Amino acid sequence: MAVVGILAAEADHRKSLRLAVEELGYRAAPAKDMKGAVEVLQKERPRLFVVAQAPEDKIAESLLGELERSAPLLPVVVAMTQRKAARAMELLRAGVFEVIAPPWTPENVSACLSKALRFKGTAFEALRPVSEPKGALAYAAAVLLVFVLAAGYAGLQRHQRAVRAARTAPPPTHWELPYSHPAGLAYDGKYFWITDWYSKTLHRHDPVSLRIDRTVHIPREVPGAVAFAGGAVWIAATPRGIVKHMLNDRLTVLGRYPDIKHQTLGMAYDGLYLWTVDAGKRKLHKRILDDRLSVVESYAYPGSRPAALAFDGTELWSLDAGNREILRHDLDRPTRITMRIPLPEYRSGEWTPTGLAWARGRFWTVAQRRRRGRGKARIFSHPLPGAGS
Amino acid sequence: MKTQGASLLPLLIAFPEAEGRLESWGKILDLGALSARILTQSRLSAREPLLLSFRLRGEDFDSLPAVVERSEIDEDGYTRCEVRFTLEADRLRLGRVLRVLLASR
Repeated sequence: MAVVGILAAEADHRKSLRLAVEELGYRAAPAKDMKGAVEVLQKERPRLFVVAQAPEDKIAESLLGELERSAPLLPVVVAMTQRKAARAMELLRAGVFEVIAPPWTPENVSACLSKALRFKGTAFEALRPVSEPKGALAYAAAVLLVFVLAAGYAGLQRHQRAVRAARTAPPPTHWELPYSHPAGLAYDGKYFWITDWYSKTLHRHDPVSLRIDRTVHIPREVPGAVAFAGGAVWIAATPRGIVKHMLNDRLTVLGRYPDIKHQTLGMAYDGLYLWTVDAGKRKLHKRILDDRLSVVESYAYPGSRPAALAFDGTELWSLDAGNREILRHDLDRPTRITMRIPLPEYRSGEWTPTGLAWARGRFWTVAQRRRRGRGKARIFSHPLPGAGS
Repeated sequence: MKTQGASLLPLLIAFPEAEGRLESWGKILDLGALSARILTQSRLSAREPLLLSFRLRGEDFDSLPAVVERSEIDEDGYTRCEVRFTLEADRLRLGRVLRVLLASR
């Protein structure tokens, strides 16, 4: 988890920034003065500093001077207490990475921190002008030589590029599925399972090639969310039911339970409780696996439009289709978000995510086209921020 | 000319046709005599007129009229757009400064 240093003289400014930073899933290391900031720098090794100051203050310039010796490429973001564009320009010219204006809400701070954390620091780059030739003969000779060398060099480059491309071809990040109406996704430790509500089918996919290796038709259900719990597969089915299936070839029905907290769009099992999310009322429900799937506690969903749930072995995650991001929830207080992972794959609006799973060290989502039924569905893989693809 | 990282040119953005809209700021990613690519937290839409101010090689360019050609939101939520300078006089002056800058490097 990235550490964000906060330098703010005022206690309430420190508190606001700290809340905003932690809400975004980073760890905040606050300091009230320059001495504290230097300590944070040495002990916490922050990835960037956020400085709260009034437009007339010179705190950021002082910090830049301090950082010039010890960490010249560390980005400094200034959170100004008043919006003053001219002062923002001065700070940017002084070397500040970015300036943000109040209010310092997580939404306002998010883009800036994300950009600053991916900043690597580099130098000015300019194309050099080509110098003029001295004479016609020299020019002709030079042109001839350049052509000969260029032809040889281009051939070599083509060959090297081909070799490099073959070695470094990025792994695929999405796969087309041979059906159009996915409604839920789960991983059983070996395979992906995806429900298709239109054909009333549960498809099992190979986790590497994503090819279907088994299909089970469940004609008495319109399947939605899916989860594995207690050695069985649980499927939220309309209207208002959750069905428990044995994990055999036919997925024999072991029990049907009326869904007392419908409409369940996502399910995940944490080893003790079955978590479900009710999209209509935007509630997270913690249930026990008794004969009624009783709800132990319910929590308001802290995101926009829940679409699915997943458990990665230690943490509960949800797919927020409204804000196109994956949220990590505090298991003791699920209304608190401890991390957000944006999903740029969904920014175009062409796809609607319907399922979420954690498998092989990354998240996977399944999606249907926005214009439902107008094309094949797709499964996306999402590496964790900071991890390689 | 491409500018990168710590050397991105700071940019002041004013909105001549949006009454009451506060001035904003951003950075120049690429700068040419005719156009520039800019990065800002403000939302800018295609065909929106702007007034751009920046300093290049110690020379101030104040309130250059420009229009947004293309605009998109990048992966961090920033607006990344291409703007075209609309006045011939500004283009000539920018071209002169850029030529001097490139020749000196």
